[in-house]
Amino acid sequence: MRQKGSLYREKIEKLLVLVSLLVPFLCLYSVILPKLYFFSLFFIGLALYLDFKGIFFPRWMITLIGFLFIMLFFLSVDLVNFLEKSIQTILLLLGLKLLEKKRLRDYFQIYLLEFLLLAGVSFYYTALWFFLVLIFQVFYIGFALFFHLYVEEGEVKVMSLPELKIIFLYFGFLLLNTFILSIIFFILLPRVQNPLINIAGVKNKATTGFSENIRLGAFSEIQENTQPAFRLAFEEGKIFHPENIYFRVIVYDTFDGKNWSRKETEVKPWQREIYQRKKGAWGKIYTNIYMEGYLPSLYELIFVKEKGEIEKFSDNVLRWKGIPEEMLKYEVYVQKEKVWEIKEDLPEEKKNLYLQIPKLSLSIIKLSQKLKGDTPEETLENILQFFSKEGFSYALKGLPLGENPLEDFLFKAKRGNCEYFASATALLLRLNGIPARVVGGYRGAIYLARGKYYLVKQNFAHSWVEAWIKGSWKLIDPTPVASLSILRKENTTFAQLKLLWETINYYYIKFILDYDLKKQKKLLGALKSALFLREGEEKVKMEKSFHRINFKEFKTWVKVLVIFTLLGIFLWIFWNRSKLFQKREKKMLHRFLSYLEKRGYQRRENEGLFELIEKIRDPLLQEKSLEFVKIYAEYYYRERKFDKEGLQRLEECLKDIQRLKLK
Amino acid sequence: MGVSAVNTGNNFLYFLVSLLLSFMWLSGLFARLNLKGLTIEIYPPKEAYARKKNFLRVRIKKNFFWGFLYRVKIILKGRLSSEELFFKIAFLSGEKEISLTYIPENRGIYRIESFIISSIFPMALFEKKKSIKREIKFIVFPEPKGCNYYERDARRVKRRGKEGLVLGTEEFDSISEYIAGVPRKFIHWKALAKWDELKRKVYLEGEFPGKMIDPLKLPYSDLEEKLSCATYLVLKAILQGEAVGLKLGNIKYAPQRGEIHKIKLLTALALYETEGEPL
Repeated sequence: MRQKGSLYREKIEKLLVLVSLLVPFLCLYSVILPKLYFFSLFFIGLALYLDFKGIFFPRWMITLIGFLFIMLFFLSVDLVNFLEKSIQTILLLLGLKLLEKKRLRDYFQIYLLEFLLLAGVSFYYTALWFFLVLIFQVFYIGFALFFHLYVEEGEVKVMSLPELKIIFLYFGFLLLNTFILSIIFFILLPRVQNPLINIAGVKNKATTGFSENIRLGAFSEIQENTQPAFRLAFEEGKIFHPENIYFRVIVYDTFDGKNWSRKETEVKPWQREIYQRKKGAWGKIYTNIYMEGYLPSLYELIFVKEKGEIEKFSDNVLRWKGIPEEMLKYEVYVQKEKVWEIKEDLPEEKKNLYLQIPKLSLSIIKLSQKLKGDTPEETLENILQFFSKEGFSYALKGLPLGENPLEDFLFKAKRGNCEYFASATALLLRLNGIPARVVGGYRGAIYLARGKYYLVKQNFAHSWVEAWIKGSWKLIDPTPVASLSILRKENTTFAQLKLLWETINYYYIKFILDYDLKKQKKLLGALKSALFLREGEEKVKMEKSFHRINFKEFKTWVKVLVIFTLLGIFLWIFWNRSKLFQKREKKMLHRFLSYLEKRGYQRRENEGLFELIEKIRDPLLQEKSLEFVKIYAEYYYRERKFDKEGLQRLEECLKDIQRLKLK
Repeated sequence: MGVSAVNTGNNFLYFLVSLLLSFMWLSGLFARLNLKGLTIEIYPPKEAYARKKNFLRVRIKKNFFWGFLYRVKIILKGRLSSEELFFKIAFLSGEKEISLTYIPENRGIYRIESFIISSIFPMALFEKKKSIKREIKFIVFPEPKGCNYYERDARRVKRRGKEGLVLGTEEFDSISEYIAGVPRKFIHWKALAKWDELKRKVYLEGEFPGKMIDPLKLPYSDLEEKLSCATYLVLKAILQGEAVGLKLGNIKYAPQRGEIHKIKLLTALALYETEGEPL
């Protein structure tokens, strides 16, 4: 009959395995096909149930089936589906493993398979929460493995709470140090510029964003989302005022009365722009709004670094044509001066595109005639004045969505979101012969000083107009200023915490997700320059005299090293305080015993001093030792304080013993 | 996984590989720390008999931090055989004492020349071993086997009318200087309290002349049987408070009482015709 302790142990081990499966399964949910997901869930659930019931399959059968699964994998895999097939196979092997009667090595294999699953799943997620979950799971697996090993190897049936606590702390300390040390490996592990063979492929998930066809009112859906759309970080920090930045994503050129669409397909080749570093600034955009590949850009953009992966259309819209990734990053070089227009010649054939008008009602046509000015600028001014004079207001809800939404907007509702204002403006301009287009993008950003980057949220989505006047496309934003209210930072604690989390997320993206060969080289270069002085610097430092060394001048790493060294010394003194600050008579006794030990007489635990001396064969050594011990006993056993005379006598005995030759 | 990380540039994979590498490295370090600061003391039994269950006391101490998953192997070498004693300690905080049982096959000197402490802490990726050389010798006395020759002697003495003292008691005679190694029951505690000096008690020798045992004359063909019987007789005599002596070939041990004398006689029996040197 099994003992109670071992029953509990088995149950705890099974429970550990069960809990460990939660994370991989949660992460797999949106990664593998639903049918396979639920099948795996059922299969593993069944295996766990049989395990709890004590029903197991023979090992040879499990091994054979596992072998078949692996064969199937090799027969069906190719470079396109490699990742997917790998994950499926590992999942099936995991299920098989759970059907076996488990020994220690089986638990190790189960956790290893879970680890491999997580490695596979890591290609599908980039979010910070996944990274934290990964860390948690690694720690959990570490503890679980150690627990299995401890109870089996140590043949432990019962564990006390203090024992459990110490195990948790000590092993936790090991895992914590593992995490810290892994940072160094992470930084130093070799990297390549481009993948050798591309096996990873992330499915292009449709998220809210800009598509080539958008209906009036659709912007509201984008604006409901408060998730980050992208982040922009300049090397120089804050260059533009956050509320003034317009990010172009897509340009719509064709309107059918209800929907805007994009017909422009001409790609403009990137030219070898000559730029002057002084006037421009490098920035990096991190985005996960992967909707048909259109990327946020700025009016101040000069060029992008990833010319091979990003194509530029003739209307300056950028699109990613490289391998889709969940977290996209690209570098931009921009002018530092604020720009509100795009200088461009417009050929006649292109003009027609931007003068396209759908079938419209008479009232709109009459309105356009009424607003016509002597010059294009005057016409534009009249249109903008019309909105303000007629009391048009900004609204996100209750938008005109009928058969003639624009007509309703202009004459009945007189309220709408940015799309209505932009559509109406563009239409009125076109009716007056001024080429115009609607631009979809984002307006404004939040500048986070802590991380030195601009954050743009989905609800900053905006549309405005570009009108071609006097040889350039001018930025016109007809939407009332009220729409800017979303940009005002909330000062509530919750909002501040959200921003803090956002900054942590940004650092995670910058230092972990975005860490690549280039950054590695830069970091190693910085490390090298910190350690090795250049010629000129060395001479200057040598000239400084010693007494003028100021701790504050030292580089940070030196300060850290000094602090840690001092800490180490302090800890050593603390650890050995009993030895260092021992009473003199104790030190003498210690010396006496070490002299005897060198001569082959080691004092055993609980052995008296007189008993020890009895063992000494050398009569002279025995005599001297006895003398020492008698003096010591005189004070010690009578609880007398060791006076100067006593200590002196002891010292003399020790010297005599020391003089005796070692045999 | 490392190759996949380099191949794909996936930083999560790099992170996982980094974790694995750092764990492997730190495992080695912690495994070494696990074996550092360990002291082992082995206390052989004061009296051990062949073919009887004996206990070897082992005290293991970790001087700093804690220790986990130890396997300790002690190699016991006897005159004709060798044995391995093995035990495990799952968790060690400070000091722990373990009693190992063993049954030596033969009499004679047994040696512990070394012992091996190993551990698979922290994750059974490898086993770290530490071999400690320590020479510990102890004597295993012959197996005491019951035999009747003592009673015959007792009956003979009674017939002569020399009943003498009641067996097992002695009369207090005087106080003498303390000698190191004297059993505690012979220390005069009153003298210590009164004069602050260690003194020992001296008892009258019993009028009983004591027994002389000559194992070689015992009626057994096998030497080991003779020695086993002699061991039994010595033990019985000492237990009954009789003075007992031994004659082994040309060596004579005069009859005396007491524990020390018993050990002396048993040692002589244990080492008779063995290659072992006395301890």
